[in-house]
Amino acid sequence: MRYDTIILGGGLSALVCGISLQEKGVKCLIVSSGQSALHFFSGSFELISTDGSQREAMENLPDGHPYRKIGLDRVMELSKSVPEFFTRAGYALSGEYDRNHVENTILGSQKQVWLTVGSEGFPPVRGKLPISPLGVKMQMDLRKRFEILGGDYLMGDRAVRGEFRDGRLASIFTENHGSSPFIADKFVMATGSFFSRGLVSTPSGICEPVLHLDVDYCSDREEWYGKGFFDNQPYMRFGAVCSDRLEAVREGKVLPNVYVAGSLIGGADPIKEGCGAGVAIISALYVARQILEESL
Amino acid sequence: MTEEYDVLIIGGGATGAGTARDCARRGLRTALVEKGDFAEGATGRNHGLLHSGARYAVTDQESAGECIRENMILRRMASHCIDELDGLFVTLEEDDLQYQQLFIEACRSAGIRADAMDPEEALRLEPSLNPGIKGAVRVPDGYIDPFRLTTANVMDARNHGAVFHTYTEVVGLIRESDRIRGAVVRDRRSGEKREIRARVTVNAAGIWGQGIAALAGISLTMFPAKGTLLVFGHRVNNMVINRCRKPSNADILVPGDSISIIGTTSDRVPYDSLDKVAPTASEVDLLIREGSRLVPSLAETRILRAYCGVRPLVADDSDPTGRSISRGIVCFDHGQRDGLDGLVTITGGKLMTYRLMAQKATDVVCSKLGIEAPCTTAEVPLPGSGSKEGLKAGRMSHRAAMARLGTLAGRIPEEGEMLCECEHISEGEVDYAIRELGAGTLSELRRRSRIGMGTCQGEYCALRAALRLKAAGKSDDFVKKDIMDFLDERWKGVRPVAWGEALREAQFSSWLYEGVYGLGRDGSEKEDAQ
Repeated sequence: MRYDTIILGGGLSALVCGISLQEKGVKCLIVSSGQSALHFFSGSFELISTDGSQREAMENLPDGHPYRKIGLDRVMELSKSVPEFFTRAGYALSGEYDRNHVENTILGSQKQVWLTVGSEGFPPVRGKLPISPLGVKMQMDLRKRFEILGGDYLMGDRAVRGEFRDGRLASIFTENHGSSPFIADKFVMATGSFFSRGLVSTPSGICEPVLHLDVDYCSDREEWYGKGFFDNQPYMRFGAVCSDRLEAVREGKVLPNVYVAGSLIGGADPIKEGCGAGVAIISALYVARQILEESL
Repeated sequence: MTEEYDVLIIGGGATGAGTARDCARRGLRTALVEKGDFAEGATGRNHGLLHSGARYAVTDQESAGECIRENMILRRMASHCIDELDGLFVTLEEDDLQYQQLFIEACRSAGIRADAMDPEEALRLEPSLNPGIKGAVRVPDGYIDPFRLTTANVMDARNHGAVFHTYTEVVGLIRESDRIRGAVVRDRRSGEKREIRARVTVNAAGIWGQGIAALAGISLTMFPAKGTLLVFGHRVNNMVINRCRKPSNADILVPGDSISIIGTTSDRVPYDSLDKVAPTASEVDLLIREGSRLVPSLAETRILRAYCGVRPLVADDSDPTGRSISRGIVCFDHGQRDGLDGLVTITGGKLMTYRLMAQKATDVVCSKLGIEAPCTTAEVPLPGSGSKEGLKAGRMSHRAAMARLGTLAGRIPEEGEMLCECEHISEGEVDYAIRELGAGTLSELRRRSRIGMGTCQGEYCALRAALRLKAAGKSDDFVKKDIMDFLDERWKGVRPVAWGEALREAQFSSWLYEGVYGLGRDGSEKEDAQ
């Protein structure tokens, strides 16, 4: 099977990237193993945690943060297009693209958030797994929009390896399709972090299991963790190495036709910085824009 | 205001709780102080192995004999805390099969049933075993839940009038010439100090007993031997598995409730580091390496957490590891030993022999007070361990509750929402622990009900259980802080083994509790302040 772009992963970042590309007629395939972090969606997106200016708060982000790679001005510019993107998908978000507002959590704490889909995202569940009905519905709606726009969505499958030619990724193979390759010009890795198995850890190290992309992490396992549960957890910032254009790196060399989007990108702490959804959406839009520019 | 009792017991582990039960049943006005929660020390930090005594048969016949006698008593008296699994002592390829004969003879002379079987039969009984074993011996080992055991002793003592003060630390002993008359205690939550007077004081503080003795000006040198254990994510084996050799590292694998536990290591730690001991990466690696010699699948099985305890051994300076120090019971009447009357120390021993230790201590106390009432703890079952006749099991969670609480399961409603999927704990069982077992925090709930001890390590149930505490009247701020303390405590055990699935789970927990619920050490306060 041949596509313009193949996106690995089925979460928020993959869907935003896929929809953006299909909206411009780029033929995409999404390979999704199923449940994603969207299933545990609080109801609000966060761009960066601050009660002041988002742009100023971003100035304090460490070097190597995905927002820094993308460029802070470009992050704010892309952020401006987000409410409209979701309006087209049938979701009227409340909140301003460039200013946080406050939402209550079910424990009565208050959180600074960016754009809100609904306040009932995560009800206190009794006797059930904590699943966000709103997040599940949103994933289904975004998938539907992607498919209506002409995208193919491979559900319940998982990419297992890639085939490289002349320093580029030529095709990928999946669990369910055995030896039949999926071929494309461009690939987007949006497979997530540890939780979504975009990164896999063992006692001796951390790897990206599909393409064996270079991963940035400290080799001493004792250094992966903070002492307290609520302390900084260095492992949160571990992720795939990538260029400022978010191109993936393998064996020290940039892969010019493979991009990284969402929480697989290293350098961010989605929890401490309150940037999980922001990195997912903004990096996806940035990658989609570059793919569109290159295919003109 | 001064309280006055016949006996004051220091320490709320199995030994202290058992002593309180024995004293109260013999009619003594009894009080117990514990610096933390019940079973928070070594009592709750071991394998939960119902020893047959076989492990000590070759090296320590006296301990072995004590173990097997108590084993048989506890099966009757504490049936709801016990899983009668039986155990195997297996000889691996690299072990000497000749040791087996020595072992069997030693077991038999200590009164322990020990039946040799060929490797095929052992593998049929216990398929998880290393298929290369050269031999196996079946012995009456089992599993004993130390938390339930302690809770049941406390409950029975209370029913007989004993008074318990947890989070109450002894900061001094009341000394009147050559006699101890009770203790000065500090409530660790309010900071308030007060006196509790008693005709006899029992030091049952485990490894902390050295410090209690020091308060009396008495020298008691403990040998703090740290032991680290790993909890695996599911029940890997059906029977207790031991290695048939001289006691060494990582040679016992015990299945208990929904999990299996491998251990231990044994290393001397400085006495002043007791409250800071933690499992290390090299201990974890050693336990996996050695454990998977016994049961190969351990190398691939998810590890939930690592934890460690400190054995209250009494020092023998000739043995640097503590392995060969007797696990025998040490009971000192300090009137005889040091000329300081009114103080008794009960230490050494094992979880297995807690009842016998309690009996010995209570005998000394009674003889001092001139009381002749006999010990009944070997005949009267603990609350929960009575006849199950007439008790009906309803839903799955209620059947699980029956396995945990025995006859006490009748006190919780059969219907009700499931609160913990890992261990099948219903909302009703949690409410029962809050209402009747005095659980006021999530960590106390964990020790009274097992919430947070299963696969998810509290990820799903912490919030739900916290909402039950709230329903029982705890404030929002208390509940938020309690969830954070609980997750911190769970993380302490997960951190040494946080890779693979455990790291996935940890990342998800952070996302849930910090990201979605908005908790954080500075986060929630900072955000609340706006």
